[in-house]
Amino acid sequence: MNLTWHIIKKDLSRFWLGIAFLAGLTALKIFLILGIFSAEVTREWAGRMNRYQALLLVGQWILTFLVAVAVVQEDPVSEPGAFWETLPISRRQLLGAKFLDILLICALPALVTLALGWIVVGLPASLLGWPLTAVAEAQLGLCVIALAFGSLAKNSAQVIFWVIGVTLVLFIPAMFPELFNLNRQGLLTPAARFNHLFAVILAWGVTGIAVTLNQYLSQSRKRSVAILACGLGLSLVVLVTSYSGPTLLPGQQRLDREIAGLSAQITQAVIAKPSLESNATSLTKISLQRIDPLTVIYPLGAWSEPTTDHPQLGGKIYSSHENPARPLISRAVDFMPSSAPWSVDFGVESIIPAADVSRIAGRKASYDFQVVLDVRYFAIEGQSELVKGAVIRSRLGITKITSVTCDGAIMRVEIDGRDSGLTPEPGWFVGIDAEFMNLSNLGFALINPKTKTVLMPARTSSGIGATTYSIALIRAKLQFVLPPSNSPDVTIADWKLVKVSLGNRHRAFKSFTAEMTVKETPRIELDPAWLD
Amino acid sequence: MNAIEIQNLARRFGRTTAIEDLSLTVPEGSVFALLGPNGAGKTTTIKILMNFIPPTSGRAMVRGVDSRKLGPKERSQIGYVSENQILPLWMTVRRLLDYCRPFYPTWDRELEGTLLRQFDLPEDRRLKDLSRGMLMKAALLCALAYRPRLLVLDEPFSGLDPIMRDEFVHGILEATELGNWTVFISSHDIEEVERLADHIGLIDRGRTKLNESAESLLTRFRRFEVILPGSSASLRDLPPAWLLPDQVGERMVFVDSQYAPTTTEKACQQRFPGAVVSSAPMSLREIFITLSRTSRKTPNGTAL
Repeated sequence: MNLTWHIIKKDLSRFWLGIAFLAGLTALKIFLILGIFSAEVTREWAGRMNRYQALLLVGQWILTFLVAVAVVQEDPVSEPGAFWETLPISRRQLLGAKFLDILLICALPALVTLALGWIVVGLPASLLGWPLTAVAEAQLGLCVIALAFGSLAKNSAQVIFWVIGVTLVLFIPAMFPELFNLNRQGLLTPAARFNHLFAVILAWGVTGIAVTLNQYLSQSRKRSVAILACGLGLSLVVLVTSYSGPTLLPGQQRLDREIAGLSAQITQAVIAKPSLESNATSLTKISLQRIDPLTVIYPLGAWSEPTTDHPQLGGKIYSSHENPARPLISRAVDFMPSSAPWSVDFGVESIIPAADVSRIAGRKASYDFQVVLDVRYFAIEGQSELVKGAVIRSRLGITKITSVTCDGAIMRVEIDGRDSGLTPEPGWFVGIDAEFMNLSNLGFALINPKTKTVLMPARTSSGIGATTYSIALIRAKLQFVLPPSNSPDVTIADWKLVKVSLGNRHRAFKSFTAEMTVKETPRIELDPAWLD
Repeated sequence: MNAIEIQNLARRFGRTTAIEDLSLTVPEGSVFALLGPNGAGKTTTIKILMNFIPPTSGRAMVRGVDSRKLGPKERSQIGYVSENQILPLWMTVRRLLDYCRPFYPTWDRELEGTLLRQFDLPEDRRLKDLSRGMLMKAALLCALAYRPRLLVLDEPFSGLDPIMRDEFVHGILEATELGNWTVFISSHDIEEVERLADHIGLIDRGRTKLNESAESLLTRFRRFEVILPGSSASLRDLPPAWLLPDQVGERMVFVDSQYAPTTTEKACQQRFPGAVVSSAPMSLREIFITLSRTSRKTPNGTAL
């Protein structure tokens, strides 16, 4: 053990610069966390700080990997005759030393400094367990991979070669998203997502450990390369099968049902021709109806084939980007019947050749067209009484209400939360349960069951957070403008805080047939609520 | 006990055979020089001895232990210095010594100090800033300070200028005087080895050509010159021990590899009546060249 520590001390003094850089990056990260959580920052500032923090995280990963590889390469096991081989130490001792080395150099500083930073910004210690465990697991995984690549490669150039090679191979499915159903990620059930992610982690963990042990203990490099190839093949198979029919089926069936239930109506079709020679512009207003009450749909495009009876549809899409959360929440908490009319209206602008205008204008025709839709699922994650200290426990994490004040016109709610972008499913790895979900899709609202009112946060609200390893520590000051008609008998106790989430985007296609008559108009007028 | 015993050792790298059927014995306490031209398999042999690479077949025993099972305990009694040795160049000489010291229970601080002075090494200079000769001396110092029972030197003179070579040889000679060590030195630099070695092994194309004491070797090999007045003799059917026979006019030369005083002279007189026979002792370098040339003429020839 003394000799192991002796090697570790040597490596620490050898790589002090890398360690200093790692510590510096982590310190900078803490500084950004402090910046994000300082009292008077704007949302824009916080967003910028979070972006920098994400960049720092990537930098930290890369630097951690490089330092870990350099530590391993300091005493290489792939090249016969390295200096350590002339010393009276066993390969087992060296492996132990290197493993402890990279834990001390690469994992522990990140863990300690992040913990300190989080404590300094005042996050409750009880919330630190999961994030720190996730950080430890991620750093450990990074170290295991670094140990494997570092011990397999004969020099730094070979490390880069191996890493680039493996990364490229893993990106093969991404080059053919349609072929491997990668564009249907949103249809994966959390359980399937977790199982496959776990399988990939397991494949790489086992591969990394097997390569490392083989390199250090059996000296057969060819076998290590074979193990690496097997691990790579296995993870590719797992990645590809993640999005195969059986795993996608439940989500696909739900989406199919919703899309099948959609009907389209062309509410207006107008054509405008500014001058005799110029091409005309047509605007077709389409209304999609009978949508699942908990689905958010945005039109991305619409097109049709031109016929003698009607012009070709396709071009610019105009639609309302109004936040759909309010009606969705109303339906989800039964303030509004789920059968209530629910439509998505949008317009499609097309260019019509001048010669076709007289043939098309004023005629009634049947239109066959397709619409491309961006579909996302909406969910109520949890709700709580509006009381200081109350906690919303959801599948994404916990949110604690730290303060509630009301001056009669504005309700101010302060919250502290820890949410995991990894959808929680019962898992073997604490904190790393399933695939990452975009945390910006989280939101909060106030509901009043008594008056059946839904209030969305005012623009003056500030919701800021620090995301590390997909664990978001959120501190928000939410402001809700109470309705003017708020009667005196409605008290704070009547309101509840609701936590909502939007799922990942999924693209769907739907064909429709509709009757329409194109009317000629002097000019095209867009709906004021539409944005292009 | 022999310090090293190699039996029928072979090592192949893919289709290339580096050494084949190599057998050597290094007596304890000797200074053994493993000679051979470039690519003969000297470094491969040493890598196997040090357990840096395993043999394809055969066996190498180092201080009574199979080289494949050399562990920390055995390694703490073996010193190793190589021309291609990878040293932590970022360390200073002092740091290198501080790093190496705890690995060896037998490390002798006094000897370390003595050698440091003898080698005139700048303690505070980084290894990367040292000349090649100084670097080799630093490596030798680390290999000697724990008084190893076996010192393995792989082409230690490569790339050293004559002054450095001289200093390095002196360093080894002075160090060996301090203890009863076995030194196994591989080189193709025969002049330097001649000053050191008391046992010689010669390998060529991965095969053993000879393995004996330097004294015996220098006695056994002798250059002969035979003047054949007025006639030329046939070079056919000469004894196999007479190597590289050559005749120019009346003068014939050869090397007797089995020289025994008066015996060869008598054999010459019998074969070439009236000839004037003279002989001269050979240097190790001349013997080495003779054997190498003979080996090239008969590539699969047996050991001499």
